[in-house]
Parts: sequence; C-alpha cells; structure tokens
Amino acid sequence: MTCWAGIDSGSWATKAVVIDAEARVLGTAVVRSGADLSGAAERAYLTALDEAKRATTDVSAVWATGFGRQSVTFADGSRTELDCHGRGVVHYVPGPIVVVDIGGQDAKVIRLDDTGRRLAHRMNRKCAAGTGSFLDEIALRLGIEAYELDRLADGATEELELSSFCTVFAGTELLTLIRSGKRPADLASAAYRSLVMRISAMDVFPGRVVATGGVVAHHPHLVRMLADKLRSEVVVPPHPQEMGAFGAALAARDGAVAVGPEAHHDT
Amino acid sequence: MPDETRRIAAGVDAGTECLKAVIVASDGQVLGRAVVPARGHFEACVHEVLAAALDDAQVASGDLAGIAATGFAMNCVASATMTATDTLCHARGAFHRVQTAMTLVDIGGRDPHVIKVDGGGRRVEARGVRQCAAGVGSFLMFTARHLDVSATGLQDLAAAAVQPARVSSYCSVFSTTEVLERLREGARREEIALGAMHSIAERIVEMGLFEDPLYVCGGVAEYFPGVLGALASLSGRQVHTVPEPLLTGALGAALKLLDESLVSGGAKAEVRQ
Amino acid sequence: MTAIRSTAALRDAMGGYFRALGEAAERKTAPVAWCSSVGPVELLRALGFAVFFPENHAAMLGAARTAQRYMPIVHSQGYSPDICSYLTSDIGAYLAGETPLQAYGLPGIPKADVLVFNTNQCRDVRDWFEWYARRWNAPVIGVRSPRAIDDVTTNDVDGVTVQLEALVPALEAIAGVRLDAGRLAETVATSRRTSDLWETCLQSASRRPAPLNFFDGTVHMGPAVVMRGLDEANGYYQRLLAELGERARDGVAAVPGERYRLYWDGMPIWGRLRALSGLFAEFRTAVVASTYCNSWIFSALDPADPLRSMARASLELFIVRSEQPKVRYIEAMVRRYQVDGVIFHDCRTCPSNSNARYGMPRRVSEELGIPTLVLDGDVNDLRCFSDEQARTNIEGFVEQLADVRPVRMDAS
Repeated sequence: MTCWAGIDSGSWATKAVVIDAEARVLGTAVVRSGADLSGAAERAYLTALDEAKRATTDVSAVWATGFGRQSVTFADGSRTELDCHGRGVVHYVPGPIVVVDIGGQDAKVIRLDDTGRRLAHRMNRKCAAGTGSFLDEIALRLGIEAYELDRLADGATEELELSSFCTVFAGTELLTLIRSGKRPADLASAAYRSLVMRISAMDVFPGRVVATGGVVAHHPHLVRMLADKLRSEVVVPPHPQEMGAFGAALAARDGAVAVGPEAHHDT
Repeated sequence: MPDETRRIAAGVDAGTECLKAVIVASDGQVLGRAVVPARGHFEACVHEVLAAALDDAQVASGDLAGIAATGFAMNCVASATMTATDTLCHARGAFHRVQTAMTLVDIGGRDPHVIKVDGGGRRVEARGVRQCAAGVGSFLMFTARHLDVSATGLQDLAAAAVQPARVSSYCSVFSTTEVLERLREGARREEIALGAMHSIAERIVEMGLFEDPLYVCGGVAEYFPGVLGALASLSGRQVHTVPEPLLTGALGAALKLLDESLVSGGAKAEVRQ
Repeated sequence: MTAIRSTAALRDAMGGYFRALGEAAERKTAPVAWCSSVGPVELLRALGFAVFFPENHAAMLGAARTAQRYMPIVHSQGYSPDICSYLTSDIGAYLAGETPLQAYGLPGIPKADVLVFNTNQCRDVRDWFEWYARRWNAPVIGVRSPRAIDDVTTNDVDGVTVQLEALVPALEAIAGVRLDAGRLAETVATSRRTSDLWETCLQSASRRPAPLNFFDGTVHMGPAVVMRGLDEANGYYQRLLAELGERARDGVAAVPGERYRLYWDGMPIWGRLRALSGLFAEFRTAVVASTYCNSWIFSALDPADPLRSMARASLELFIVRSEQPKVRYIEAMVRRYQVDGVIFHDCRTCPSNSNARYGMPRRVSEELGIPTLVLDGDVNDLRCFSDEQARTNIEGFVEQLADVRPVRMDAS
C-alpha cells in the first residue's frame, strides 16, 4: 500500500509521520535527536513505519523538515519548518489563520491566507530564543520534570512577572523569585507568562490562531494563557508535536517544489 | 579540653547552580566541606549543605562563632550572622590559599568576575561580565545535556579534543544554537565540548583587567578545567587554580567572619565594599 | 558560476591605491587625511592629500574575519559591544599592531595629519576618529550634517556648504597649499564620472538574468569608495562595464539558473559574504540590487559648483533621509530591478544603516505588495549572526516566493 513519510529533525526531538493518499496518519514516532541527527531520523522513520505496518518499499517519497533537514540523507526533498507547519495545519484548519509554532529552541509565527498560502513569517529575535529549553531550565531549577510544570501552574494564585525578553535574563529573574521564596506553582505560571509575552510581541494576530510544536503538545496551560493574552481562540490541531513531520509528508505526497540544495540533485 | 582561643566559623556560598559550605577554624584549617545542587527553594538547600558540612567536620552548630553567607542567595541563609558580597569573599578566600596579590577570575554558574586582589587580600577592583554573556556555567551544563554526558563528563570529552569547534556568540542562548549547528555539521562531540569551553574563555578575556599572576576559582574551575587551558592560550598568560576552587567563596566568607569578630566581637554585621 | 574577469584588474587598482597611500605616509610625499566614507574627499584630493578611508579598512577586517579577534580588545577598554563594530574592529587591529595593508607593503595603517568626518551617516565615525586624534595629537574636523531629511532643501544645502567652506582654511594650513579652484572642479568632475560609471555597472543588473549581484557589487565597489576623484577609478570601471556588457549580451548570469530576484537593504555581513552568496546561489536567487552599493552614487556632483554640489550629494543619500523618501527610493528600485522581495538586514551595531526598526518592512510589503524579510546580523560582529537562523529564514522566504510563482526545476 503506497504511503508517504515526513521527518521533522528538531534540535531536541526528531518526529516522523507516515500518511496515506487521503493524508490519514498511519504511524508516528518521536525520538530524541541527540548528537547523531541522521541516526535519529532513521530510527524515527522506521518506528513510524512499523506503527503504520508499512515497509520502506511502500513509501513513494520521504521529505524532511526542521533544524536537521539537511542531515536526513535518505529524504527525497526538504522544506523549512516554516512551510511544513503551515502546510500541515491548513489540512485541518482552513485559512486565513496565524500559526504559532513553539519548539525547543525558537518560536515562529506564520501567517497564511484563505487559500492556505504563506503570506509572511516571523522568527523570534535571537535574544528571545530558547523557548522550550527555557521551560526545561525552569523545571530543572524547581527540581521537577518539564511535563510537571503544566499541572503545577494550574495551582497558581499569584501573578508574578518576568520582564526580560532575553532568556538568560529571564532565568536570572526567575532565580531571584525562587530566592525570595515564591511558590513553585506561581513560578511555573510566571515562566509560561513570560513565553506568552514574547510570542504575542512577535506579530499581530488577526483572526484564528493555531498553535503547534512540542511545547504546545505538553503544556496546555501555556495555550490557555496565550488565548487569554491574544483575546482570541487558540486552536490546537491533532498531533501538534508531529505537525512539521505531517506537513513534510504532505509535501512529499503533493510533490512541492524544493528550493534547497537537494533541488540540484534532480536536475 | 577545647582550645579557648581557637574559634570556628561556617561559611556558606549560596550560588545559582550549587551551594557550598565550609567549616573553618581561626588558624585557617578547613575542618569540613559540603556541596549540594541548587534545586527548589534555597532555604532547604542551605539547611542541607550546612548540616552536611558540620557533619563532615564533626562540629556541633552550637560550637560555631558564627555563620557567614555569600553568593546569589546569601539572604536565604536564615542562620547567617554576617553576609558579604561574592567578590569580597572570593578575594579573601583565594588570598588565604595563595598568599599573593593577584588577578582573580571567579567563574561560577551565572556571573563571572575579574577581581584585582592586593597584597593584603583585599579586593581593589572588580568587573562583571557583560549582561548578555551571563549564564556561562549553566551554558556548559546545557552543552553536556545535548552531548548526552553528565556535566563532569564534558571535561573528559574536551580533554580528548585536538581542535575546538567554533562557538563564538557572546550570548549563552545564541551559543546554544551554535552548539546544535556544530552537532548537525558533524563536528565531533569532543570538539564541541572544547569549543564550549573556549567560548567561555573568550567572554572572560574580553572583560580585561588581566595582570600576572592570574588565578581562577569557582565551580567552572573545579569541574571544567578545560576552560583554564583555553584561558591560558587566549590571554597568553599562565593560569593558576586556587586550591579547592569551588569552595573559595564559602571559605572567604568564613574567614571574613573570623577577621571581623576579632574586632567587633561577632555581632551581626554586613560587609560590603 | 562564471567569475568576473575584471577582478584581477580590481586587485591591481586597489593595490596601486594602497601602495601610493603607504608611500605618502612613509616618505611624507603628501599629507595624509582620513576621510569618512562619504566625506568631502574631492576637497581633500584637490589640496593634494593622500586619502585613507577607515571604513573600507574595517570592512577588510570583517571580510577576513580577523575582526572577531580585534573587537574584544576594544570592548575590554570600555567601548560597548553595542556600538559600531567597524570602530571596535579597526581600533582593535591597531592595538594588536596588525593590518591587512601589510600585504601591500605598508607597515601599518597610514598615520593621519588630519581626520575629516561627515556625521551624515552616524556619530560613531567621529568617535572613531577622535580616538586616533587623541593618540596622535592630530586635528579632527568635519561636517555636522542634518539627518532624517525629507526633501533636500536649499537651507539644508546652504548649511553644509558653509561648513565645507569653513574646512578650507584649516585644510590649507595642514596641506601647506592654497586651494586651486580649477583643480577642485576637475576633481569633482572625475568623481562624478566615477559615480556615473559605477551607477551604470550596477544598473546592468536590471537585466534578466543579472550579470552581477549584490555580493559582486560589495567587492567591485572598492574604487568607488576609496578612489573617487582619481582617474584610475574610471579606468577600472570602464573595463568592468565592458565586461558586464559582454556578460549581458551572452546571457552570463551572476546566479546561474536565476529564478528569483531580491533587493538587499542594509549593511553587508562581511564575514559571511561568501557563505550567503553561495546560499542564495543554491536557491537560484539573485540579490540584484542594494541600498548599500547604491550609496556610492553621487549624481548631484557638478564641477560648475563644486562645494555646493558636494553638499547636496552628501544630503541626497539614502542614509540621510527620513522614512518616506526611503520607502519611495526602495519602491523605485523594486520597479527598476523587478525584484520579487526585499531583505532588510537589521545590523545590530549599526542603527543608521538598519531600516527594519521602525516598521518599514511591513509598510514596504503592504505598499508595494511584495514580501519582505528581516535578517538579524551585523556588519562585522559575527557573534550577532546565527547561520542557522539566517538559513531557515532565507530558505523559508524563497519557498514562499516559489509558492506564489512556482518555477519548476526544468524551466531553468
């Protein structure tokens, strides 16, 4: 049975998605990227195929996206994560929309028109980078796992502010709050609020907002705060963490124009 | 029968990455030491590190002439009878160990400092790193995590490298992205580990103020001596390490307290310069 | 990619200029003036000065990436990493006792007898000159220019002309000669000729495919920057122009298989010029025009009215203008060069050359109906530039162009 695959090689996690001709998701996988990006891509790919009950010979094309897209040596083409997140989301949510992708090292805002075509994108200023890793650092300071932050923040009672846009400064501010004996629940909530402030300042958000990325998948509290801040509905589509990989699989199925260096191999 | 003139003090250095405590006698002998990571609320960590140091020294808290605190969270040391700023304590602690005027570089979890120490062990000038380059020690810990080694394993990796990978941003956040880029380009983990250490040494050299002899203390000197080699090659100077570099601040704080209490009789004091 | 053959002649021309400068400084055959990049060079040349442009020198340090070693030396002396990285690179190199001019036989940068600035671009250039002035006990004089000008008015021109006139006696005293009006007019005429030739070279890129691009321009602009008012500059550009004519005729492209065309606003990122040039080529995208290369076009220069026309030329420049004329200028370039998008380089240490900070990219996008992209970076300080972020931004931008106007591989 013919299928298509997409690999999203992220800085922290590598995601793979296998789809059929109707873009139904047959299998997914998330593995740690580690120091060997191409090895991680292969593991994710094979795991997703296994879940999809397909063999590599069933796959008519694999496309790659994400930070390590050039390292996915077996890919037939690649598109940036800016493209794939938008492409994946419009499959579920019709445009015009604004996609907010919150990953391990950065955040992106992608504006799409009513036909799902990309109008513009913004990446966070370098100074405000480190979004997912910022939550990891805070969890580490609080002596808990990052996924526990979400539940913790639900118990917040005091609104604390981290005013820096720089991740390093915000980290120092957080330490100062810890030093002054603030409650962990309020600190977790402050960390989320700090991310929301940074994201909301990246662009204007007319209309419907869709959130994707690993951070979105594991931190629903952040999504609620983002909706409050933007005074708009924030939709979380299916499999937000694998959205980039899903978009890459769609690009593979639809035969998008590759602009990257692999384009040269074709000619 | 206890020696009535030999007095004992505790020093606590409550840093951003870990808390250090030493128990020191007035003759300068270190009787006990302890280090715990900074996790959760500082008060609990302070309690833990002090208890462990007292236990190591086999001294009861009632026998202490006082407790001196320094470091980022010095005000969380509720039992402190004295507090003093980091650079002052590092200068005092380093001077006690090496007995010479020096340029002292303290590299800890967040804010490195270059401190000029005179022949009397006093701090005469101190310079902090530019804000954007803060978080250098934490940056090394992050790098270790991405290379799948423990923080101390980073040093073993770096020691096996010939050439450092290029990590040139002054901002620790940008440097982090660079580490990931080098990984993707296929740089060896060893080269990346050494590159991260070189990057920190560059931030330190930029601060200026260097004169011989040059001494280094702080957690980075303890756990990541690769930074010292990089510092030597970038500054073109010999780099010495203060013995037990991690404990320099805590030691200096305890000594300050003993210095002060000779004069003031141990009243709660705050030393700032 | 077919290399531009004139590059060898460019090296000869620049080498000749640097050697002559070195000789003047060493053997004292002529007084040496330092001049900011768009300072009153014609006046200095007419008085017989050998002229040195430290901004050109700083760009050389950036391109060689030695700047990365020099800047921290100056930062440690209390100059902020947030100020002009040209300044910190150049002074750092001086303190390190190194210069790429050693390759031309100069022992070091030529010591100035006078340093002449024009603040039409920024304040930093004056601070930069004053550092050397203190070191050498040399005079710093110049023009304090109005900035953020809407339309250039007679009053603006008068104000700068008066200042230029006031420089004359001071410069005469240093040079030990009186200003010869005929020689000034000749120098202005030569300079204008350079400007016209350079402009024609750049305009050759309005052809499809473009025979030269922004990255070529940043190399070949050398004579327009440092040899204005010298005949050798014109000899070089005649030669380059002939070659560009051949390339256009033969369809030789700066970017083979050119599919998309972009405009670049802001400073080059000297230490990543080659990498970026390769990246755009990979995406078959030609950066066909730029504010930067156009900044050495001085069409107002007029030998019939030398000082006044110099004043006007210095005021008409893009960098001296307010937001509206800047947007109108970019609009004209977008039309002339038929570009598909505009890249704004937000240069961390050069606010004067960064136009992304007051909402211009968005306005340009809305008013001209073309996409824009902001790239974070710096002219010399590579610590403010992320290869990764730049690549994803640029690649994503080209994908966006490709989705609007798809060109299949086989079309090229």
